[in-house]
This record gives sequence, structure tokens and C-alpha cells, in this order.
Amino acid sequence: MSTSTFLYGIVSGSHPKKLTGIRGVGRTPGPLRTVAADDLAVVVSDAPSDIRPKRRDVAAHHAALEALCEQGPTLPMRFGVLAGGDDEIAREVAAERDRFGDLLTRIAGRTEMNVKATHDEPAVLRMVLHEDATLLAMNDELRDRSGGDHDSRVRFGEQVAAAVAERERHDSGAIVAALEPFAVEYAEGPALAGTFLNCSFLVERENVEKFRAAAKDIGRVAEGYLDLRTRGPLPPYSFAGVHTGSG
Amino acid sequence: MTAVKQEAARGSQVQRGGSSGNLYDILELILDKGLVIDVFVRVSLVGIELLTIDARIVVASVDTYLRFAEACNRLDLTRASNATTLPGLLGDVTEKGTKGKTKGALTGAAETFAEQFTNASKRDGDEDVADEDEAGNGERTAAPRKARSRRPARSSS
Repeated sequence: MSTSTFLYGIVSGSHPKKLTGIRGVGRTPGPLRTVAADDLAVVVSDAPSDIRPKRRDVAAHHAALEALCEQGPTLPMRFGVLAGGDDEIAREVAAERDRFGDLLTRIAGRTEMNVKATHDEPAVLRMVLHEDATLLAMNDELRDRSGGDHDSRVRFGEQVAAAVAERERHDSGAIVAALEPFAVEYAEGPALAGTFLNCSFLVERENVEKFRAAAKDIGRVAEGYLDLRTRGPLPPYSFAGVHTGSG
Repeated sequence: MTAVKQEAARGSQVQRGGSSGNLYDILELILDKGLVIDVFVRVSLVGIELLTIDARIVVASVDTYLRFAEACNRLDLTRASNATTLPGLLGDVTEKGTKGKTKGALTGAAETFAEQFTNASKRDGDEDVADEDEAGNGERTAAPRKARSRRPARSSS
């Protein structure tokens, strides 16, 4: 890879853009700088030739964006976006100035709160068995037969899996419905192993504590059945692109 | 599942971002979300993207079915509390308003959750309840609420 430029985020002209002390990506990071694009600015640094999605570099990207978001509205780039050079950046960003300007307006004064939920497995299995007499009877029968034959177990397990998936859908809906009043909009995140809900909420900064308290309330009422983890304030990764469900 | 739950327990401790601490729990946001400009290239994420894609594959396999079947067989379903684990508890929450587990809750979110949860549980056994748009196609607007419930604090604009 020849010389190229690593992009962190896009900010408005009025963003303070205090970049000293922010560490960039790479083993020996170069300084962050801005590239003007119309009335916007792109925060960049020279890309190290060995740029990889290493923990160090992903962490640096994230930390730089956190620092920029503290100062003012910042559209976070996805990790690892590289451009050929400053001229190309200025040209391409200026060409979509209105789109980025609208996105910056959308996130101004707001922040991303991410919520992930995981079921306690024994608890959710008890739940689906108690909700469905047929499943409960099948479970008893297989247990009486020391687990039963392979095909019966697969059939039973498949029905349990379907019931759990249904339960996950319901519980996701219940959590989102309970948190949505505290947010401006929300966007579902990528599916993750062992996590039935991965959802990000765009929250007014002044409502962050309320949102956190709401999530805590849900976590408390459902304690032992599901675990709710809240992360944030985060750079608004989930609201820097396509518009999704609004609240 | 054990590993997942340990990770979950660790994650619940972390409130504030902070780049060093628990990047794992938001890695997919940094790698899969955020702004992309089509004409620019992107660092190859070989190896990392597989982590999240695998999640979708694991869900529906024979191994999972067998594991679920065995886990169900192992459950102690005789414990008195089991039968009422959540529909019961959460039912109490909605009946008694702020009593029970939501005591001290200030946001109304616990009540909304309990209500939605209970409705979902009841609907499983009652096909006549028409509430189709309630569960999950991403475009929900306001949560359906029972008249007697406390409304959660409307704090958004």
C-alpha cells in the first residue's frame, strides 16, 4: 500500500478541532490534521503502511473519535477508511457536502448509547418450557428415556430453539419499547453470538443519565432472566450513515 | 454460553466508553457501522469480520438443537420458583404498579418492559390477540400501553 490518508471523521467548520494530544493509528502515529472540504473539515492522519484492524489501531480510532465528539458534532468514519491523499478527500467530501451536513445536524447535541441483552440460558429455557405444555411434555418424555434417540432429541431441540428465538424477538421488542421514549431514534446493530439484542439509540446528551437509569431499571426487573449491558456515550457510529427506525 | 455470560458480566461494569477498557463489547460498531465513502478504500478486515458473521451461522445447527435438548433435560423444573420465574413476577409488577421489583424505579421503563413482556407471554397462548406490529420489525413507533399503566417519562423532543 502506497502513501495514503486515514480518515477519522467529518466535522463542521465551527468544530473546535483541537487535535493536539490525540493519538492516531499506527505503531508510531503521525499527528492528526484537518482537510478542509467546502465548509466542513475531515480529520485525518497519514496512514501507516502496515495498517491492520489491530486492537491498538481500532482503539486509537475510537479514542480519537471520542475526543472529537466531546468537542462538537463529529461524523465517525467506520474503522479503516483510506483515501489516496488530501486532494481526493477535499474533492469527494465537498461533492457530498449536503449529505454530510444533514448527518451532522442529525447528531448535533446527541450521542449513541448501545444496549446489548443476553438471556440467562437456563432461565429462558425454563420460560419456553413453561409457556408450552407440548414442549414440557416432550422434555419429560425424553428425560424418562434418558435423553431419547438422536432424531427425537434433534426434533425437540429444534422446537426449543424456535421457541427461544420467538422469546428473543418478544424480549427485544419489550426492551426497545421501554427505552425508545428516552431516545430520538434507534438502529439495530449486527447480530452477535450469545446476544439477542444489539441496538443503538441516538440520545440527546442531556437525556443520557435518564436513558442509563431506564436501562438499569429494566436490568433490575429482569435480573436473573436477562443481562442488559449499556455502553455510551459513544461516537454515533450507528447514525452516521443510512437512516433506520425512528422513535 | 459460559464465556458469553462472563463477557456480559464484565461488560455490565463498564459505563463509560474509554478506548482501553472494554473495546470488545463495541467492536462491531467500530468495524461495521460508521460512515463509509464509496470511492475510498477500506483496510481489509479478514479474520475480524468472521467473528460477527459466525454468530449468524451458529444459531440454527443440529449441534445447537442437541445442546438445547440436553440443557432442557438437565433443568430442575420442580423448584417452586421456576413456574413463576418471570411471567409471574412481571405480572405482579404490572398489577401493583410501582410495588415489587420496580420499587424505587424512577423512569417508568421497567413498567413498560414488564407490560410488553407480559403481553407477549399471554399472546403465545391466545391467537386472537391482534397486536401484529408489536414485535420487532424495526419500525415501531409508540409502545402500545394499557390504560392503567404509568406512562414512561417522555423525555425525547
